[in-house]
Amino acid sequence: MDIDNNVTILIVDDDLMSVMILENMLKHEGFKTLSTLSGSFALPIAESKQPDLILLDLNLPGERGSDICRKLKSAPLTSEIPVLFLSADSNVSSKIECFDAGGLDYITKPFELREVLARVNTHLRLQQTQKALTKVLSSKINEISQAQQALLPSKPSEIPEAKFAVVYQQLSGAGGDFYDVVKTGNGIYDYITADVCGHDHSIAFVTAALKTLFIQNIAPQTEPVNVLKIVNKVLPSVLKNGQFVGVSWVRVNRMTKKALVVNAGQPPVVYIGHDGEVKTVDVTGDIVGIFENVIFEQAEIDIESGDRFLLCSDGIVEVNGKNSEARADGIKKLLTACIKNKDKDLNKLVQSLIPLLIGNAEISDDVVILGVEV
Amino acid sequence: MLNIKEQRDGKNCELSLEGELVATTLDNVRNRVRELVADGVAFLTIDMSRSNAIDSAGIGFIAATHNSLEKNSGTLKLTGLSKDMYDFFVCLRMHTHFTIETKD
Repeated sequence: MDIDNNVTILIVDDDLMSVMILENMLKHEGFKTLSTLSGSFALPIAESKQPDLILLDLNLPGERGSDICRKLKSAPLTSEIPVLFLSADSNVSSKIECFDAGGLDYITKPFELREVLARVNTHLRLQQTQKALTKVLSSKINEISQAQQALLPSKPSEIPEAKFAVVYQQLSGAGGDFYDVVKTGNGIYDYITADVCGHDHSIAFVTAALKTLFIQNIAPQTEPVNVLKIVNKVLPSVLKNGQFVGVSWVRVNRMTKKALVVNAGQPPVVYIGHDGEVKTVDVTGDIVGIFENVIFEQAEIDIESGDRFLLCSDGIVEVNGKNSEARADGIKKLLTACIKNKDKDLNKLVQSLIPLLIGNAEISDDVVILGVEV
Repeated sequence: MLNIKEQRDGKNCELSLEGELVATTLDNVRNRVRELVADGVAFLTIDMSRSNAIDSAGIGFIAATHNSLEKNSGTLKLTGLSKDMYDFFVCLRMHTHFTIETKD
């Protein structure tokens, strides 16, 4: 990496001769210099001029260089500026004093100009590499953020005719849970929740790919099970080894009064009839994206106005642990909570489930509950 | 914490797991299975009778292990599952890909 020549170096040394020698050498190498003979000016100059590197004498009259370095490191505007110490002391305790104060290097006087230059260049290169890495990381985070933004589905208020309510709590910034509501045709809506195994930032790209796959393949004439089969073929190219996706899916056709329910590795969809009946829709399906040959069962249900469906992620039924007894118990609790709150309007019903099922327990997974009303 | 006991006989191997098969405990068993498959093990039994919990990462590990063995014309068998865990695996249709057995 070439050193950017538009670099300014601040020299803080009470020895005028040292300052002049360093200035001449650095200017000869194309660097800009600032200098002060007084340690008390070091911090204000550094704050106002923002040099790229500071050469700081340890044995300044009054305040020691190490104290000045501590102030530089604790000031927000100067904390990232590399500080290289200059000192006539070659003893170990002085060197340790400087490194303890936040110095990156220690150059012993009388200095050899080539050595000073080599050390300055090394630290400038390190600083530039760090800045470049930070820029790349910021760019990646920005991409992730944009992917996450693209994932945000419609809010219930934006498509009121879809009649849904949702609670969505992420464990970390980029979570593995995902939901979407898609208008598929006249009076036909697809309601989907998915859970991508894992929680690292790469999940954002998987969920973005998943959303794209759904959007590209959902059509009134293509049943959810067939869309999932397509998704299952494509996803392995996106997923890491051992990663998979669980999906719950309800397609509501308000024209024909039929609903299709599919479940691939998620807690069962809960059906709450307009007459008060509460039950799980027990269909099974392979988890998505890990097996080559998959089968997804699909239940077709006659629906009436006022019927509801609840699609939940694992997080809501695994509050008390990852063991299978806890999961089965979680599903029972979900049903009990639905029975208790079935008379509430959809939004209040969905909102009531989190405190009832999770309470004060620490959330160990993302949580999404998507409620749908016919 | 996940303890692994191993019994090997040529292409056959049984791993007895004790503890939780979850994201934070998977590294050792995942690496061991990788070594065993690379070393020619084709028929792997995983005894889960002393493993009391599994999360999605554990399920992914089991499925990926099945895929690795199948590529080498091998098979995976899960034994010692509790009734609830067996039912859970059936819900996930795992039993259609490899053999699963309950404790009893």
